[in-house]
Amino acid sequence: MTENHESTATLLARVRRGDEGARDHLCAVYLPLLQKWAHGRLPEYARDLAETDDMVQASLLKALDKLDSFSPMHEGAFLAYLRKILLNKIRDEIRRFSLHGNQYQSISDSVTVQNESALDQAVGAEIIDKYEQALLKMNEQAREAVILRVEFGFSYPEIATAMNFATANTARMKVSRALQNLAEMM
Amino acid sequence: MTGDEKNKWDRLASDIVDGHTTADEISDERIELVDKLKQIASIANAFKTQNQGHQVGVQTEPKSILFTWGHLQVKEKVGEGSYGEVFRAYDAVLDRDVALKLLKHDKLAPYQSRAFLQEARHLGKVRNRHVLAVHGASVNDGRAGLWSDLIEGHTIKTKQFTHTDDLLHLLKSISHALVAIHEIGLIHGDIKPNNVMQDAKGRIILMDFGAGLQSQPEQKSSGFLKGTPLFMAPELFNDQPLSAASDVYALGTMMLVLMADRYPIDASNLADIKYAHKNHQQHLLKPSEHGHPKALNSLVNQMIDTNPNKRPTAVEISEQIDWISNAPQRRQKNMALAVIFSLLILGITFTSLGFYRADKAQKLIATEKQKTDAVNEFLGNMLNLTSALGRGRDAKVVDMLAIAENQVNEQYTDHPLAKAAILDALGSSYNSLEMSEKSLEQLNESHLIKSQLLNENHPELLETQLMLALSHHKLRDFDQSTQLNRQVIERAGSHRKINELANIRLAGNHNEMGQYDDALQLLLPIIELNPDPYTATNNNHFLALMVLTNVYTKQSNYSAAEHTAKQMIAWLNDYPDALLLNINIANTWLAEILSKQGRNQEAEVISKQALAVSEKIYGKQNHGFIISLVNHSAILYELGRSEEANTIQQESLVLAKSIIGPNDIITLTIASNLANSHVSLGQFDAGEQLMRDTLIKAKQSLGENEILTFQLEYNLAELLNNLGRPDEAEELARVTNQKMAATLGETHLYTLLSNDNLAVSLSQQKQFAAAIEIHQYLLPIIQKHHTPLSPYAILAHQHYVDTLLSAAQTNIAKQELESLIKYQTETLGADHNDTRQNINVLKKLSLNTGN
Repeated sequence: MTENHESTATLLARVRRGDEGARDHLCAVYLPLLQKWAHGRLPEYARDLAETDDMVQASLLKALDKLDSFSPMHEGAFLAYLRKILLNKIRDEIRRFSLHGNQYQSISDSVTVQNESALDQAVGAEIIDKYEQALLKMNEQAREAVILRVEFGFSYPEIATAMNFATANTARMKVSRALQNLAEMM
Repeated sequence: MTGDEKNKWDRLASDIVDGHTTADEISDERIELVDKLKQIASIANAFKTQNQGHQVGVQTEPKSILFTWGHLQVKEKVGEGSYGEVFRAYDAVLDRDVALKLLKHDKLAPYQSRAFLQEARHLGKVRNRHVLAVHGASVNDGRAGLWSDLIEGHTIKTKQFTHTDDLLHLLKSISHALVAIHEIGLIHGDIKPNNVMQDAKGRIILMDFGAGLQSQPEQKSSGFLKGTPLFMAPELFNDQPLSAASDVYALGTMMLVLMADRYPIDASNLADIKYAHKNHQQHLLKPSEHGHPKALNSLVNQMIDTNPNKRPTAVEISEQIDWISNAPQRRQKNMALAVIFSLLILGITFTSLGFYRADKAQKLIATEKQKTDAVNEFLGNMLNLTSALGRGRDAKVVDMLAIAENQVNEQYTDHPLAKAAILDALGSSYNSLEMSEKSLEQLNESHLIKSQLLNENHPELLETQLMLALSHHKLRDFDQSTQLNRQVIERAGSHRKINELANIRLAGNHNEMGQYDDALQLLLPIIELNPDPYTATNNNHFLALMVLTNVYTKQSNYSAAEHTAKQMIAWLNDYPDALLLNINIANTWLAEILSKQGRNQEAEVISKQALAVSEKIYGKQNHGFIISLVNHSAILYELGRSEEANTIQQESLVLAKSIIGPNDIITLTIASNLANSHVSLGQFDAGEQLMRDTLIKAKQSLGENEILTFQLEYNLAELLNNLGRPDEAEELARVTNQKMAATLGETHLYTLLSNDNLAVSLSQQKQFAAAIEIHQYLLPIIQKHHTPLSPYAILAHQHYVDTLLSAAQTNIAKQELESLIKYQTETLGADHNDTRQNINVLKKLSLNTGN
């Protein structure tokens, strides 16, 4: 994804040194990617674009502010890290709304609050849950490979770049093994 | 796994996930793994679709796009409102068409855009199937807008809603929508048929929050002119802001338009509308107009009440609709039960009366039994219960009686004595339901029939007379009741059971009139007979003990009352024909007496048992149980467990609303108790609000001059006094007092207590002379009728003393304080807080005056 630009690790290092340009650059690269990703993970009621974008932006800036305590060696690790922050944020958001939503439910049976994300609706919440649980059990590298391929739709050459693999073929093999491992744990 | 297999899987897993193979050839033992990989593939696909969908321009042809607004591709204009334009647009994220509403350019004052966006985002949080789903709001290219579901349907029209069921469905849907909207503090602001849509599946959807979004104070006047004046509540023309109540008014108006094709007022311009509102020229629905249920018409009338405080909330509308919607089912059950009930009465009547031709009666009974069996079966299926009589749970006996009454008139005209016997049964039943006026109608007719056919000493005639006496007693016409009872005593002769019962009833009258000695004189000889419960042929002994307990309680002689109540319970426990219901009533009384003596822990034990028995008798879904629950909460309240009591009362209120109906007297009584309980917990605002709400309902459902209405007005005035708002209390007390005097009489306890409220409010406003005059008038009357030891007398006495102290009339205050302390010591004990406080005040007074 960043093959025509400086590597993410270099940009991150510049951000850590306080380089605003690098910060803007990282935001420009990752914001659209994360925004697309986040829309799939949010329940319908929370999919207001403006609010989602705000949330993604806040999470990204938060991650960039905390670079002192986290030094991703490559783009894949950074994306996985951002994904983790965002996923937590989304869960908080759902919890917050569900608490509020329950008040309506007590008044009327016919009032329903839809908590399912587009992903849940498309695949089924149970499968997503198993997938998430299995991901947590994997080692970091395998997890990153799966996330980049499955969730962010990176091609194998892109994965190779993002994860410092020698070739696209190596990336494909790593991804395939990770997927096999993941499937066994699901 | 072999090396080859490993290599194969190193590739296969990614191929499956990438969709390059379906791996159908995989052997059975790995099939589970393939399934999991396919699941991961579906996850990857879902993300892929999501990411593609997000890329604007992928899904629609550029040619069909008018312009883009943010991520939306605007395809065509579908409407225009006062505040903006509506477009059909493609949302790449949702991958479907949505409705985009853009504020007009001239509406783009920065404040307005901000408010618009903020409110639209709030609306986005409303997820209710009857509210248009708003997906987001933003400003793009200088235009503020929101996008929402695009509804394929049409706005509602009059013709669609001619049937009651359709109207109920519509009203329920919109009330649900309003509950969700009002719950988060939003107002719709423009409810009218044009803003309500019905989609292809019949779902009702409230839309167009135009006026609501412009409800900020700065926009109010322009909102008015561009709104729909005939749907606007009267208060909006008096510079009041939009509110939940004004939404309810608009909804009521919409219903009126759909039901009767007219508006609440007749007007063709703004000036006429204002004039009509000002002069209360409303056209309400008549009770059964257009053949809709009275309750629905009445609900719509309440919704368009000119006083916003009297309109029901959206939640209340929804509750009422449930109640109305369930009516046909209730009626069906009631009809079936009524048939059984009246047949049972007839069965008993025919077998107990010997004057009817036996063969004909037997045939009739046989036929009726068949009918009963058929109905039983029907009922059994319908209610899934086993015992016919156990089914009275949620059927209204009053409806059964009305049906039975018609049957009597139709079927027994040629058999007057049979008819009279049935009329007696009906009269007695109405009495049990505290519908004594109705009871009088039946019993007077029966009495007339029997007087013409039987001699004046005939026990059948005397029994009717006794029932009549009871009806008059319940209607508090004690003179008439006394006269009838005395007549029975004179004529009863050797009929001991009738004679005793007349004496017990007479004693009851004396008790109510405060003639306690007379009551005791009649009761004690009967009680001394002390019949063996095992062989007793009637329960007169129990009835006599019950009246005696009541006499002692009224005299505040609680130890005697307790002793008598225990005697009554012991006797009933051994009496084979005792009704569980009577035992429970006796226990409930005992609990109350113990509570009055401050022995609340003992009271709680008994009350808890009574509650359990109630549950056994009635089941939880019955108002008998609810009443026991309320009694129990009163004991807990006395035990100082106010929060527990409050919780139970809240539960009882919910139960009562659903089982008995939101406007039934029992429900309203519970609400009234709950309001008092809020107040005692220091939740004054909640207490006052509930009192006011309940008062409005009581007036609407029961009437201005009903006891509960009076009680609520009394409680509210008392609360206002306690909250230091004596001017408001005075105003209320004066109105109430006047009504009570006219309805109940000048010397009725409630009239006197309401007068006491008035005196307290005057005292707080330093109008001491007027206050003292009232105190001095009412206190002796209360003391005379209820003894100086009764809680009412002590309360009024305390207020009198307080006024005297405030007015610095020290000498009289001291005298009154001394007698009050004496009474308090006797009833509450010297250690009671109230007593001790008064003793301290008296000491201070004595010190100050040197006495």
